Amino acid sequence: MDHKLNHRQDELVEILPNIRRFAYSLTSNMADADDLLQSTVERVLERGLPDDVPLMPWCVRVCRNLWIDEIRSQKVRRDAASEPAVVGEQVLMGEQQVLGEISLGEVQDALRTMTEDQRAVLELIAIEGFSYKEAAEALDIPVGTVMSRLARARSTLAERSGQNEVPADGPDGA
Amino acid sequence: MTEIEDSTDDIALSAYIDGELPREDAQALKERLLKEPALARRLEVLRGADDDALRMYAAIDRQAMPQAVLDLLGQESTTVKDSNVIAFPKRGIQQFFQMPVAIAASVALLAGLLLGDIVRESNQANPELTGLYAGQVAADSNLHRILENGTSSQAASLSDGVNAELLLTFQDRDGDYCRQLRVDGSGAPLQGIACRRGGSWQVEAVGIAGARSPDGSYQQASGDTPASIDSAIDSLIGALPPLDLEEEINVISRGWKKLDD
Repeated sequence: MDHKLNHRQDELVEILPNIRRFAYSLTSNMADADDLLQSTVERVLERGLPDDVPLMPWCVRVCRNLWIDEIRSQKVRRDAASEPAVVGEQVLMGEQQVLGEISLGEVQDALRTMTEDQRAVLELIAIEGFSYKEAAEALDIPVGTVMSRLARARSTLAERSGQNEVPADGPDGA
Repeated sequence: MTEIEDSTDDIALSAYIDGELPREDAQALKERLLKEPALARRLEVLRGADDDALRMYAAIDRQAMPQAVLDLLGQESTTVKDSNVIAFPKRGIQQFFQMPVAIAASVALLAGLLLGDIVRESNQANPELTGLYAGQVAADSNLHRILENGTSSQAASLSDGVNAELLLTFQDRDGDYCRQLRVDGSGAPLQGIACRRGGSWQVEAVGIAGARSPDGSYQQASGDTPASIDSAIDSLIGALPPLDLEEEINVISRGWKKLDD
């Protein structure tokens, strides 16, 4: 392996957690996210890492395409034929996987209040720090769609947390 | 407010959170936020969703990286684990959070800074207050002198018509000293937290410390600590209780050196 490839591979190692979070935003399930992460890394290594291309947006595209084209449909078929993944995951993770006040089960429940599209936009922008333009390019959607999905994602998540109790026209907001 | 307006506002507020609103639109929105408490609360509601998302993804980060993935890249598990610190957004307002504090602290600080951004215009004419937003307090500013030499409950003039009062001094989890202060001027009363890091004072959080009256003036509510400031203190404070007056005087006299320095 030449030096350049090694360098890019080091970059890939560094952003593994980022890719994994994005994968989770698509799958909303740890086991599937890890499968998707593995497939993404395999695909990136197979196809090679292009020079002079920001790696994270590149990996987001690969990850999303894999999810849409191959893995999501397999997951739907598998879920239809077996126990829901959430049950197995909650049992598997248990209390030892609790971080602070949030367990993976709670994370999964909360993220599933949003649509897959909303989760992906929220993750890229609020967690990974993508600009709207970068997110739009990575997800192949218009910036306006990014904006509306993001606002809806935030609203939905806030609603789940009970933060949406204040009406838009509150008593002192009229 | 109609559902369509509601949705439009959500989109604008959301873009404001991310620093993605065009300058003129952002300015117009800021003016509305100052006049419409419900809209300001809605901003906080939407921003709060990011807090939740940050906590959620931090939980995901704590899961061990699959060995099969590490094997693909020829990595030992510890290699990735060490670098597996969530890398939060580094743009816009969130640039302020490139500091080694807990995620919860970052979340609280974001709230304060957003509020600080909202009230920026009301105090913008006063150069002394720019330090409250700039992250690092200028060493030749009155604000620096007050943080460096003032004791709690001692009000001091920051500049014409603007007073600062130190409220609390404590050590954070790294042992650095932090101070909570309130600033009262012609605009919105503010509270902030600044920590002394590497010899300079770094602003860590800013929040509005009072309610706006119907006539547009701000009520000077001395006991009204913004929730963002409370949260920031909770996240920052180490194991020791806040300093009493005697301890403050001692640490000021030794130039803010830590006892173990």
